[in-house]
Amino acid sequence: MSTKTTGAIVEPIIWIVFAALAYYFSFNFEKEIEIYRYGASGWPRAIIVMIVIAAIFLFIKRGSHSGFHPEDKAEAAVHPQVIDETTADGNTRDGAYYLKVGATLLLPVVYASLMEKIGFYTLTPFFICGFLLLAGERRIKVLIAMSLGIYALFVFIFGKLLYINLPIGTMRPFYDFSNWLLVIIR
Amino acid sequence: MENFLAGTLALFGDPLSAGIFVAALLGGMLFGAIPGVSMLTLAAIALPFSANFSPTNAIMFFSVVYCSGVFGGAITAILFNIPGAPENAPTAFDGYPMTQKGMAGKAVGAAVLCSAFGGTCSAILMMTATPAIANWAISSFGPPEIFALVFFGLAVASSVGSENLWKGWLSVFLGLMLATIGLDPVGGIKRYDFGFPYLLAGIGFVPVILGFFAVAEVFTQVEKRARGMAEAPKVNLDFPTFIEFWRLKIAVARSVAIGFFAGILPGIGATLAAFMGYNEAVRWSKTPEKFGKGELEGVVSSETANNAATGAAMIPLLALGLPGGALTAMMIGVFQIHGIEAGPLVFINSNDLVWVVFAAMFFANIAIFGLGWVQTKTVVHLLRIPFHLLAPVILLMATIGAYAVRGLIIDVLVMFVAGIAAFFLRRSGYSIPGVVLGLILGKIGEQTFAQAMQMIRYDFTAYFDRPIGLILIIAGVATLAANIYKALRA
Repeated sequence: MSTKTTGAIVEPIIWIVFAALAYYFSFNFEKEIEIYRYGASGWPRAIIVMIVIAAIFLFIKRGSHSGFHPEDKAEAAVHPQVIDETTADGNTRDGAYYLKVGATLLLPVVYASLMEKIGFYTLTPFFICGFLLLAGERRIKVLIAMSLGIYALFVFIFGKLLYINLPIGTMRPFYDFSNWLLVIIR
Repeated sequence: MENFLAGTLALFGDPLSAGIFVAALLGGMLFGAIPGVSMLTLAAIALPFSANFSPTNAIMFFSVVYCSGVFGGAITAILFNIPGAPENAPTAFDGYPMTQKGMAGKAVGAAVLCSAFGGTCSAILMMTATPAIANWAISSFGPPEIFALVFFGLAVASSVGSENLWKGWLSVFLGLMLATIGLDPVGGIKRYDFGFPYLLAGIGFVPVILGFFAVAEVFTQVEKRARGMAEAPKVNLDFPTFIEFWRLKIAVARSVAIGFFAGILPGIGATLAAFMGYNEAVRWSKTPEKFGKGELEGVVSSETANNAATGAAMIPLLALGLPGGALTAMMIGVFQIHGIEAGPLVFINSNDLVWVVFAAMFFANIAIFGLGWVQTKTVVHLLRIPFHLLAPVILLMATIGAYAVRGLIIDVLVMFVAGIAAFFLRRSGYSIPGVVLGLILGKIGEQTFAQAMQMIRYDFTAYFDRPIGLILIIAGVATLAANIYKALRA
């Protein structure tokens, strides 16, 4: 079964599961509003019904020509946003590819999750360095120079010029470092 | 005309007024271009200081910031897929693909010219017909008409930038569902909050839009590099030619009308004006499939409409004392600080103030053309920086932008999660503009639907007595039917 055929089945199922969950949770707020006949759940449920209808049509239309690869390729040519499954050298994606893309998606989430405790000022140079590495920069000198340069630029613009209060962290010694830095630049 | 000349003389005859005008112009452009620190941030910072200005200079400052701030956000939207403000989001739909095709100069040039043109037209209309237009718009456009307008907008949105109609609709519905999170607009009942207090205020629009555009774009580019298929954008400083603009004259005129009209309506403002201008361009185009892939008409329509809304937004503010959006609401505060009541009496008691403001907005839009031209010739060179070095800068700008709005780290997390979701949605052929439009229109749509139903006592036939609403509903249904017919035949 090709990836496209799998997508034709999986996508509508995901939408219907999403709609079912949204409908289930809508019972939590199924309360009458005296001045409004449809209540708090009327509008979301109307949207849920429309999601189910659109998902069914998506399944019917995609399912009706799934497996016909020439048509899939023609569709991909018309809609280039549907990503090709191969790499530039013609190979299918390998473990390194998935690892790199996975890390790229995960790094910013980890950065945001740690920001409360560690703070923007301590965490950011490491984040810049990590992202530059993932984006393909391998030269150590460039990595260090760019990380510190971008960091200094942001601290100067947002910390000193625009005076934007950014997270300073709640844990020592990160909290102390952020405060020390802010005292220095301001 | 005499009033306009007197206003111009008062504006540029006094060095302090002229200085405040220039500061507002440059400040609005700068703050508009940096995500998170929008023109609203500048206005909020300036609000306490405005008490030291004369009432005329204070109101003039805010109106000029409004004009230049709406334009400023277009530059980053086009070059880096980072809309400086929500009203610049539709500009990114086609502006950024144009940058990727090496047509950044054309896109920015079009944004400069159309922002200036839309804003100037709006300023002229504002000067000529403020009281009459304000009274007509406010009396003719109630919640049933605004809901009909939203319905029509959503009907058009489904055809923008998706692989097929069904994915387009699913994108719009996803946006509508996201808009239901938080308190319901009628009874204040909690919906889909799952016990998190953060969700009670609804999904923050700024973090989501930054995630959908800026963060998702960075992820997509890194993924392309991982496949060895990334291409650096070509830097090109070609401005659009006169012939190219002449071909788009109808789109420009239509967007001026839409933007001006949307700007007058309280609560609608420049954001919806930009989306409506873009949607109408798609709807009337002979090649709608080109939109979302780098069509100049998309940039032109969005930027003309959002700037055309700025002058119009002053009409209900000055004529009726009704603010159309956040910045005009702040201006009500400025009026109050100076002991002036915004409304019809302003034209009698403070006629000088009104004409200085009108003249300042007119000249601000003219100045956007000159400054924007210089900006285009310089800022586009940022594209010469290799993407892997630019990527962390974009992510950090987005991080600060998301955080600065409310000072909540969870907004940053929401932004990155939205970025991941948009990355996968784009890969599967869903429409990000559709999701964004659903999110924006969902809140306005539900609120006006509830108000409309209470007004017309749940009797849909009441629309037959409201011709404007009826025309919009019929146009929406016709668009829907035509799209479904085309999709089923495909």
